[in-house]
Amino acid sequence: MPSEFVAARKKPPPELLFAAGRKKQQPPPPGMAFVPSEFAAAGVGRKRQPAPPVEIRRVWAHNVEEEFRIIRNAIDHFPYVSMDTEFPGVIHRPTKHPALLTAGDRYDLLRRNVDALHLIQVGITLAASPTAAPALAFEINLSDFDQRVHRHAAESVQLLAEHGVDLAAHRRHGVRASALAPLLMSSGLVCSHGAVKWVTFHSAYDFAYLVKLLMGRKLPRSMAEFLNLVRVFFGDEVYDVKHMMRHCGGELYGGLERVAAALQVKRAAGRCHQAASDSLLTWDVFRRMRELYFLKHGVEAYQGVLFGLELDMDMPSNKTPSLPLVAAR
Amino acid sequence: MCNTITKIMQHYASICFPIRQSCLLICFQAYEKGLMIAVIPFTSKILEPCRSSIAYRPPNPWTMGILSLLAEIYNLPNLKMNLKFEIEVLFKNLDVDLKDVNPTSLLKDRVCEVEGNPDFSNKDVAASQTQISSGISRSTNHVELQSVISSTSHAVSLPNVLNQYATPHLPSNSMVEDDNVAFMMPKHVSSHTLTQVSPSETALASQSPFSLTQLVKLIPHDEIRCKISSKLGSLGRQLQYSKIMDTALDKAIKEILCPVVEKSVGTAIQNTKKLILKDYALESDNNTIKSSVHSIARTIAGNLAYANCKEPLCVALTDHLQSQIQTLTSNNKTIKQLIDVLINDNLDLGCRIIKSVAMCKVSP
Repeated sequence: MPSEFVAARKKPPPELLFAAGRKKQQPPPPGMAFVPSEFAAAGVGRKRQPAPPVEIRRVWAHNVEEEFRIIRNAIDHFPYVSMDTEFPGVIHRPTKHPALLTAGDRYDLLRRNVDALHLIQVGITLAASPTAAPALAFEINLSDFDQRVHRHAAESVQLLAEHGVDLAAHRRHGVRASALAPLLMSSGLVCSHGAVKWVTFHSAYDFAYLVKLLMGRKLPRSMAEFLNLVRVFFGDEVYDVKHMMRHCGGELYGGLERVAAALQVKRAAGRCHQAASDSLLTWDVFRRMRELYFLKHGVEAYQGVLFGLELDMDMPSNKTPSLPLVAAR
Repeated sequence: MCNTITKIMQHYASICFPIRQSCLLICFQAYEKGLMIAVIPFTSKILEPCRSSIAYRPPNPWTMGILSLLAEIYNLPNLKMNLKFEIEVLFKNLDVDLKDVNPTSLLKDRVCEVEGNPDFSNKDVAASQTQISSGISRSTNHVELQSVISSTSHAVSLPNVLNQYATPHLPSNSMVEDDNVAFMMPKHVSSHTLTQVSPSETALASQSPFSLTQLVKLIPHDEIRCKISSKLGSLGRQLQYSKIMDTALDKAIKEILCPVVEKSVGTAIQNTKKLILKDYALESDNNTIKSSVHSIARTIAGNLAYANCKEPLCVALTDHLQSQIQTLTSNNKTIKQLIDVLINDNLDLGCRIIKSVAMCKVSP
């Protein structure tokens, strides 16, 4: 198991403009000690107080059945799911300037990249209500990606390795994507007819990888069909925090780490660029953002939209301080 | 970790989600207890709507997982026809080809009750079917024999017609006529028989040249060398398979030898007569005619037998190999692979043996 703490952390390489597979860097706060968590049943966390830490469950080939049994049993009581994935960057890049891309262009790039590459890690966090602290977190480690054989963005893979993702362990002990898909289908997480709500950060690529996994085939040609599949598998209540940030008076921008720092949200467990840890942080950011900016009108108006794949008529003109990124990491 | 799991188990032990994982479990239990006759139609009903479901339609991995198990069940030996039919219909409705699905091997380690199991055909029924098949085969033999005799009778009348156009310069008219008559009468049919319009069945049976006993004597045993692929395991294993293959090939050949040789030789004789009468009508050298008859008849009979025996020999070999190899291993997938390799390597040998028997049978 990769070490959770390193005495001296290497400085991450400088972030490239529009570089793939990377969020803006800030040094993560010191990790907290691991303590087995008590289930938080719909408790309202105190304002600005750190939530009790959640232990991240590591899912490998040898225990994937057992862990999904836990998920199946838990999902009805913890229907809010925060999700993040790790994948080997992007290899197809836009020929136009990113600001000139239409939603269709961005989807086409996404489709070509996701069809060509392999998922590395999936992180999910379960919570009981929009205000509840996270109850369970799972880090599902996949075995399909082999950097010696498969195409990838070298800097993205190196970044993952530097943040503790042990690719050799994934190949030896990881879950095969073809074995994970049926477990997802029967887990209650997907095709739940609205029972499960999803919270994500800049998640077009994340959902694309999961849709490809669940269908057992390449992504559909048209963006409309893809968005319909997201709705079929994940329901109507899908929240992309990156999209919601645009409606926070321009105060929030950038990647997950930066937004968390702006909201004074601390990483609950693990390290950045690990899927489960990022899903935990995404959940906490969502709760805080909802508390600060959306209490009056609620968040329902922002569901079902993935950042970067908005229909063009929804695009606000010249209000975003930063240019839209091609990919989440 | 232990505390967390304990809490989870205690808190949620009573919760049950039967639909999500139940299909696979139900199939396992049904197989062990002889209940597939009820469960497979149930599973088919559940999976049928998958075709029109955006989420579940093939190749959705969850759906394909269950179809793979059904493919394994479909390939079980002696599975009842109605269960096979149910699975075939499901695959057709989902637009999935059974051949495209890799069967699982989840049932190999599970033991099912055999006594009174309604999921499988029992041996008595199979034996009964074999007898029926033999009866059909025997009827075909009679029909074929009568055809041969009728054709011979018809051919005898031709020389008289030919003689009407003989040129005056032929030295001995009666000599030519005698030779033709001799040529037209196969040795095994007496002149007395020819004078009867309908030869008796008893006479036919007693004079039948196609009995299994006679044909078996013609099998060139010295030529039989079964080929065992080295990929089937160690040398000891190969010797074991060689013995099994010898036995299976011998049984299979004896099983199909009579009908194939009989049909091929009969057809060859008919066609040879037509060819000789047409192409050698003016030939005056009796030795040339006889050697041509022999050569043509042997070639036609051999090739016909070779072509006709391939498929029935393959079926017979599969059955015999299956019954023998099953005593070695219970892995159905392994058995199938073994049988495929053994048959691919040795089917041609079996065909050649039958061909040589048919060619020998044509000797005057």
